[in-house]
Amino acid sequence: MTVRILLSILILFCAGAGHVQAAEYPSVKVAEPYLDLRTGPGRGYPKTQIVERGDWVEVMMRRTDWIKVRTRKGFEGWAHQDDMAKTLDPDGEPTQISTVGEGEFVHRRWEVGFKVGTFAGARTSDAYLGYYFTDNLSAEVTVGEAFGTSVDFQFLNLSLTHQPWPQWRYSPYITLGGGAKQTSYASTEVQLSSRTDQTLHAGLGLRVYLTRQLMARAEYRNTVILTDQEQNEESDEWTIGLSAFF
Amino acid sequence: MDNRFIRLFLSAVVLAMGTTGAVFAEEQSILEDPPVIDPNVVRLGLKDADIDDENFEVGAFIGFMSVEHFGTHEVYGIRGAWHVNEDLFFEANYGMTSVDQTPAEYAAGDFNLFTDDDRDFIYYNLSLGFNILPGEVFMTSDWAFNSSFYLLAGGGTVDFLGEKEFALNIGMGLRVVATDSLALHLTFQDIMTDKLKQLSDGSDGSAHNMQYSASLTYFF
Repeated sequence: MTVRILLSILILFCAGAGHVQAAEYPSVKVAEPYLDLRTGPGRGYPKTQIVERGDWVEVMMRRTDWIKVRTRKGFEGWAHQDDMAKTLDPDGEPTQISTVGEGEFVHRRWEVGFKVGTFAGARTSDAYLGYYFTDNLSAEVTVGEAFGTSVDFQFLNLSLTHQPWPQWRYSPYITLGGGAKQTSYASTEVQLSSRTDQTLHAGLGLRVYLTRQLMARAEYRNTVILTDQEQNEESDEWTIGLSAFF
Repeated sequence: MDNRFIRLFLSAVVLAMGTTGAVFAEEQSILEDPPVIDPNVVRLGLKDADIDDENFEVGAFIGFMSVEHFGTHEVYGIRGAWHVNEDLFFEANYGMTSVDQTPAEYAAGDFNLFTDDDRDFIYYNLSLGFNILPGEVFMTSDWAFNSSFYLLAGGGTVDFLGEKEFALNIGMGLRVVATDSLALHLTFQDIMTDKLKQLSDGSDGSAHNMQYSASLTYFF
């Protein structure tokens, strides 16, 4: 009986110790005939090891589409997420590996990116962050700078954009909003102090789903600058950009 | 005699244990018939959130930058990158260098065209990076680090001599991944400024401000 108790304790201890080791990284079981492991996270790195069907590997970390795993013998290598999706988790279910695709493009919540183009003849570059309330409607904050030959602009604005067909790969949208624009005169010949004006804008654009989390974007905006003078100024802005969505 | 007694006793004990075990198991199965579907089942399954994603990289760089017409000086800055996939990444850079007098100022002696603040060449840009030529750098015959050669292209802002302008940049680099979370870069970038070209020799076109730097980055 003492021996049994001792043995049980020993078994429990071993299981416990084993469990502690396993708890560090989750394990998955290879279900395909074999799993290829490469030396690095990319298709250009050589395959140096295979894991046979039925063997378990520990899932250590992920970089882009590649997952670093450790075999029972302690060998570390990188497996592609598509191959990892064919392994089985401890419940015997296929391992859940999330990938970003066109489906997520439709239901995205956040969009971040940058655009370059021309604003009133000056070269402009801006960065933006958008939040989608629904698949159609989003609010966007944009900060940017434009540099002309004698005048520089810095602007900050808030827009509301609406895309009627979010499920389209080429999805047009309209944008409306306002903000502030600071104008400074770079030329040293005319000493003009910088000024800040309020702006209103309306525009049309197109978002194009590229791949994974990326989309391209092209936009035309007509900006009305509310000046103190008799007439308000109007400026055209044409930009193209690249966004990532989450 | 003793031996036989012990053997008999042991057999009895084993039998007793075996039977009680069986009876016990039977009793248990009758008393607590497990439901067909156990609602309290613990799913051990691997969730995607359990895997540590390491696609962001931040770091600092130091090197030399040749500002056209103003000579070559130390440059330092910070950089950050987001790796979209194995081929593509976004990179942001912020760097600065301070230049000395122009040749004209040297020639003129104690005469300065620009203030010290204006002599700070500050730039920030956003680039798209392409990983090409993935490989390994071998330190010894059995000690190697993963590496990748990459190309950079992007645009940003240069603030120099009291003027700001939009500047395109192109570059290339070598990334050596030392550990899972640390990488060493050797990078070359050309930041093209039109206003500087105009200033330096009065001609149209771009001044090529070449920068070579080494950086240490951390993946998270």
